[in-house]
Amino acid sequence: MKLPNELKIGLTVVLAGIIFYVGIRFFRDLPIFGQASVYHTELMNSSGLVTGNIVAVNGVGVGSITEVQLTLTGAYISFSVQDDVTLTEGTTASAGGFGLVSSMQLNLSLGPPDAPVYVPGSLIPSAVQSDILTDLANRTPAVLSRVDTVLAGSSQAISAATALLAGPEGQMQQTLTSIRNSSDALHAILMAEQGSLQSVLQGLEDLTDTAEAFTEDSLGTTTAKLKEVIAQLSGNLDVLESTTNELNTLLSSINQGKGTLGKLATDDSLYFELKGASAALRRILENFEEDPRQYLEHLKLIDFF
Amino acid sequence: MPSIVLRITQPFFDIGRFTMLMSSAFMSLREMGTYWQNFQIQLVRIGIDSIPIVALAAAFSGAVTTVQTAYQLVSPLIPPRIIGAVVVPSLTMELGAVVTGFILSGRVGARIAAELGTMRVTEQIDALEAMGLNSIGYLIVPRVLAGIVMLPVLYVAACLVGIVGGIVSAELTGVVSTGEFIQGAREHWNFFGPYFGLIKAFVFGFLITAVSCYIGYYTKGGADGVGRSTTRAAVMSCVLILVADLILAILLL
Amino acid sequence: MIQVQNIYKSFSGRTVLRDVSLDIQEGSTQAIIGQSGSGKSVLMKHLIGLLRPDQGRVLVDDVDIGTIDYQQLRKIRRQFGVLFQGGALFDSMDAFENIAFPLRTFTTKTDEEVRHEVQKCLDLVRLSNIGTKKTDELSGGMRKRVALARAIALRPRYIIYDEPTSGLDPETSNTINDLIKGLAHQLEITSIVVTHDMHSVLQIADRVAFIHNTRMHWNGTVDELHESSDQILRAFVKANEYIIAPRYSSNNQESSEATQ
Repeated sequence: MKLPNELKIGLTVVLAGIIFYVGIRFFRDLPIFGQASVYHTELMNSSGLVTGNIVAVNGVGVGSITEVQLTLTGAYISFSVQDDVTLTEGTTASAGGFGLVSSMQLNLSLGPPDAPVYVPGSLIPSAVQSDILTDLANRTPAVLSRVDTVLAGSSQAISAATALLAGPEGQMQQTLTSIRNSSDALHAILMAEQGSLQSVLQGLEDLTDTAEAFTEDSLGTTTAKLKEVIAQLSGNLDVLESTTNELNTLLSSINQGKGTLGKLATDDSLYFELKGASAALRRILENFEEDPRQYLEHLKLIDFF
Repeated sequence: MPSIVLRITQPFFDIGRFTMLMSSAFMSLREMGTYWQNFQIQLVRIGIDSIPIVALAAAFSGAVTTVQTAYQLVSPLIPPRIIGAVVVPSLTMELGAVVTGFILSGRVGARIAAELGTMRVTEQIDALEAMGLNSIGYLIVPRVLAGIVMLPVLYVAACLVGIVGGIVSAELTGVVSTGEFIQGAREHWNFFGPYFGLIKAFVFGFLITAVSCYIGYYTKGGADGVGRSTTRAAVMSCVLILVADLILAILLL
Repeated sequence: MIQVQNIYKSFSGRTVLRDVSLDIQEGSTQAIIGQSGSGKSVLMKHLIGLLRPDQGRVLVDDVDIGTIDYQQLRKIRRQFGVLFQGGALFDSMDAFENIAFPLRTFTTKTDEEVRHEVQKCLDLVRLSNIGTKKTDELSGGMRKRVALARAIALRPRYIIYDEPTSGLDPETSNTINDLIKGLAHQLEITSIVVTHDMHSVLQIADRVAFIHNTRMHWNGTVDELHESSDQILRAFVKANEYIIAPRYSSNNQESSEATQ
């Protein structure tokens, strides 16, 4: 069949246009037909974001940056987001990525789903600029205070137990339950926080990939913060140790006793749990104190320690 | 005039005459309605008829770029998806437009120069003019416009076929899977890349057709002159593509 | 009426025309003769503004075509039909399309009317059944006749023949000469014949202009030519007769056309 020229040309041009459009949408990971809405944000520091960088929610690309402009106070960034992603109030934007192997991206941390929705064109607030170091410094005390609370509860219970050793047997049961609950909680927290502490330290390691961002000042601050954290942990460890010692004493006096006290003596899992929990915490700290390079092996400036 | 002076002034003379020819062509644009039929024929000849050879060249460029990139990535630290991140921008920003341009220099540039050169030496151009027709509007405008319109179209075809060629060769040699290839390309997608390629194709389309028209239109001598014009058109188009490629890269990147 | 007034033309330092003047009367057949390279083709190109003189003027109906703008020049050119030396048929089209081309481009005639006009032109040049032949399938004489049909398609006021008989065998040359004469008569056309073929000049021309060594050497009627005692002119005419003589002896039409 011989097509007329007009038709051939028309088909070719239109087809090329479609391929161009679809190709760009495909490689930008945008929906081919869905419309993307444009939002804006203002960052103190664009961290090298450029037009075309991915906009991600939980690491999933949902759009791309359409414009980056310099303003007096930072960088004004316009970005498009797929229509099926709703940005609710509470959503914050921050620059992320390490720029070395993977490119920079704009991370969105979504607000609660039931919050009012930002209409396209709104200004999304930027997340408080927090790097991993600040994160570490901010998160560690929170962990410690939780450990503290539990330890306090547990030592209270133990002192109560000690005090009640001379008391009637009926209250003994209650006290032992209290001790058990406390130690369970302590164990759980330590296990959980061991993970999060490690991930914080892991983050620090990752951060060394962008070591050029460090200045000596910020390194000094970091060192100070880390030492402070370690001191706090050690202090708490002392408390835990003394508590454990007290508990040991308690247990030996129970062992010497009779009746329900004898029951407690055979239930040595309680003892091991407490001991194990304290050991876990101790291990992390010892590891870190003995060899910080294990966690910060790429950070050359750590030699200043 | 001594020949050395002529040699020095010749390029300026050519540039001047080329500029005048193009401004005449531009002035003839309003008569476009008269030459519509010719424009269509040129769109088919320059554009559609070139698709197979452009696609062939692009497919091989994509495949070769992929295999060579894979060969050079010896470090286990570099993920293989980087191949996609190298091949796709190479095609969209550089190879797609330049390969298309080179192919068209040989195929279309030489043809235009031969056609117009023959028309010149057999007085067909004079015949057009003697009839009261605007030979520039009739012969040059449709060709240059067709080049400007069709080169971007061919560029898109070249990119598509090139990327597919790259993916196919990656799968066949097993250096990287299609998924990883595309993921790499997406991760390092350059927003401006395809538009840059399109601008290049547009400029190349103008250069190839305009320069070949110029050389053909001012052919002197008989069959020998036509032969010389044909070679010159192909060579000049290639050289101008390289120069324009560099200038555009400096100006736009 | 076409008036050439004291024109000079040179190409890259080489003078081709020097102080050439010529008046071409309405309705007459003017021959321009001269040796090859004497500048007669250059003079011909000045008549339709394909070249512009370095000095002097070319007036067509009192309009100086050297100074008017391109659009006006194109309008004036449409009053001319030109038969180029090799025919200058557009090889991208077949014979019919070549003749129809000016009609389709410059008139609003329907396809049927165009077909009719083309047939009329073909009748005038005494051709038939060449319609869809490719231009390279035509013999030299047919090419000239198709080109002539194309030149007269728009019924021009002036028709210029550039070496109409060159490369043709004598018989075909005679046919073309008859055509030129006939067309001048039938269409009441002003003809300008640029040639070095004296035989053809004597058959068709009313007036003769002889260009020699870049200058207008001699200008007059055919009768005056016969009586002229100008040595250079006589030498040119005589030399031509020698060239013509052996060609008359050849009756092989094919071989002479093959050299076209």
